[in-house]
Amino acid sequence: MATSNLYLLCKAMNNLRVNHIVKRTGHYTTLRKPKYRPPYWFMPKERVVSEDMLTQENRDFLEEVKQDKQVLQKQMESPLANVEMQQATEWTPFTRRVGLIARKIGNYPLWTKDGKKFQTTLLQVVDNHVIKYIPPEEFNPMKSGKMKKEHWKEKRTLGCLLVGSETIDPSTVTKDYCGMFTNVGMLPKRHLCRFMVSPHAQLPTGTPLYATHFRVGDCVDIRAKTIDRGFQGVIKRWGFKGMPASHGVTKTHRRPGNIGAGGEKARVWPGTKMPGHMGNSWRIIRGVKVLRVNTEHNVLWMLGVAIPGETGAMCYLYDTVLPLKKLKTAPPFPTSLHVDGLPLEYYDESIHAFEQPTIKFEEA
Amino acid sequence: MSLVFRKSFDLFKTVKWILRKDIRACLSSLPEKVEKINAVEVEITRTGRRPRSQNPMLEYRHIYPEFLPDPNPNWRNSLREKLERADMLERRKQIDIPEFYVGSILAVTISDPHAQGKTNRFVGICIERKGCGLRAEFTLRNVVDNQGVEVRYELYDPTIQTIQVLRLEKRLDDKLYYLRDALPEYSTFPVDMDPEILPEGTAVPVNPVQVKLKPRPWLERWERQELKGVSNIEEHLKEKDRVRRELRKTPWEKYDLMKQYRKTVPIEDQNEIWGEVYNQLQQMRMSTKKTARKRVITAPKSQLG
Amino acid sequence: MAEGKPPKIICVYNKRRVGLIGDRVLVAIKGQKKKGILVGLKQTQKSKVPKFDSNNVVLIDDNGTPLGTRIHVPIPTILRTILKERTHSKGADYTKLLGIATRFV
Repeated sequence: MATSNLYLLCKAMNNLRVNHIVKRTGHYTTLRKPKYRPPYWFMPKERVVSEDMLTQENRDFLEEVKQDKQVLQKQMESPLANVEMQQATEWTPFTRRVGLIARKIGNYPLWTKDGKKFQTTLLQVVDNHVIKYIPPEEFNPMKSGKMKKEHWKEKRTLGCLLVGSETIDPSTVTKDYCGMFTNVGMLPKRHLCRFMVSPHAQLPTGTPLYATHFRVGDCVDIRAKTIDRGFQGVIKRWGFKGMPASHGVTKTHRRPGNIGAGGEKARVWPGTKMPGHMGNSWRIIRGVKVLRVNTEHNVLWMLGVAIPGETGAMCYLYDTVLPLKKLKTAPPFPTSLHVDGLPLEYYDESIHAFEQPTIKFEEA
Repeated sequence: MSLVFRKSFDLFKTVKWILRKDIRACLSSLPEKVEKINAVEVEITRTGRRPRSQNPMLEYRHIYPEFLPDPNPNWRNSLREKLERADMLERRKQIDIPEFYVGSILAVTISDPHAQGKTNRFVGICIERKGCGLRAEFTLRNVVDNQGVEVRYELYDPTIQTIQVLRLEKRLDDKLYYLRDALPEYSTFPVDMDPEILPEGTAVPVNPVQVKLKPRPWLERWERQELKGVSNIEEHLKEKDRVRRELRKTPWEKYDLMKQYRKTVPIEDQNEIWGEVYNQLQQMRMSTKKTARKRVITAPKSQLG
Repeated sequence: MAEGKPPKIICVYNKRRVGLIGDRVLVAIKGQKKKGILVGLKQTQKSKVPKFDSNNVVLIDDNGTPLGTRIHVPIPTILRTILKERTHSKGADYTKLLGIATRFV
């Protein structure tokens, strides 16, 4: 929805032809020239679904086709299973492997064997499949950073793995978006993510990714968009203390107070903390521990409730970058295979599973 | 959390729902409101669209209220609720968490790393039950050595060894916070109380006791809350309190359909939930009843002595 | 509380200056200042920790020995762990008051 709105907006603004644009020079104060045209790589995703004048028969036929395709994709064997023998690649502490796209489904408490209670967040890995692998030489993203593109290209060592989650009905998306998937032989996905990956950790297209990719006890970085809180005042947004509610304070209880000092540079500095839009920004939480994994529904239990986003929001999981919590032993590399006889749940050693008997403390 | 049904999302349908006499059966936890509504809608005839006999599984919403999720739609997710219910059932297989209500007297033994002998037993009257799913909690109150003590326990805490119901009964109110301001005799229960076993098949008795409060100051304004279990609020009130109480009354709240709607889980979801969970819970109840019967048969010797 | 005004806590020996179970406090009682340890709180506690209807203090001297001979009121079992942690080998021994307690809740 948002992408089609952007497209329509850009189209509309294209027709406006604004002549007078305020330009300011300087470091922080450059007003970017407003862009009226979407970039050339922009591809709208949602399709305006209009009423097709189809007969009931045809509609049923289409439904059947969709079901068949979905079933085919599910039954498709993971290409890793065949390639097992050829893998001579081994995991080193410097290799970067794929991450997962998960959906936050809620929180509930778990207890440790000492009897302490911890709140945990559940993340569900819904049908993740690898869509494409782009090797480092060919990878050419739109980079608008400080490093110039030529220098960046030389330094590149990581390839890009495109991973998609949640298969959707192809008739709800545009042909361009769908085409991106059908070129590689997959059904379209709702969410896509790029994972920067070492070349020998690459995966062939169509590899399914499961929650067992992360083991219990591993630490994970989570990148997600925070809850949109809208326009917020200075107390909630920046944690200012405000003023007393009484004792003669006139009309100033939740205001920022002073916004600058006097003297030579008597102006409000750029970046002064003021009320404004809060939330709906990408944030990365480092070092979140995995406590429990369910193989049937592909659900991960993470310690703590600090994962950004509301229930039902997507988040991207990566192996930790923190030096003390990094992987020390080899994880399932490049990813875990789906084996039938896996145990239903994996628990961390410190966690008390509900099937176990009541905790009893022994006399020291 | 009131345990009232709500039908599907159509406003027209919800209005019709409240206009039907069948509400009497549903609003079992809100008798006061039902009386007022019934008085108004006596003339309206029944339209037999809705089946009279409701799903018998739905009775469990009173016995096991923690299986129902929080009605806030922002936090609901069917998969997470299923996993939570599976964990709750697993824990129930390890320990028998009996049926109890606010007003029942319980004895809880926990394994305590701080105590000598590593176990700790507390007897008290349940004054509140809150939380959904694995977060379900209850608070027990008792007066020990002339000191009022309240302890909060989590139902699904793995350190709880036994929860024994000494007297199973209900009270006239949902929360018994007024016991903190009542005379201590109403909260005192002997620690070595014997469990009182009710004959099988009887309904849970409602204790109509009216509690006497201590003179003011109180912890909360009990006169503004519609409490049925308190007898002598009026004695302790001044004219000013009575006037303020009238001003603060919210008589429109009982007509607030959306408020009721937001506090309850829809009947379709409830049917699904109880459909999953009913059989296992029933089996557990049967097995606990059997063991209880065996205990009663073999117990007489200790009672005589 | 037999004569005079009821005892009041005038200082809490804590970084946060808010008293929790097991904290040392200064109590003004019968016109004198005495040290004490908080034994029961009206504040809502974590689960399994009991909450009392009144804030209870056990008077103590600087070495941690209680001034009385018996504690009639029930005491939470968490105090045992808390006081053990507070007691250093050469400093005050706070665990003595556990010996005069009659009942643990």
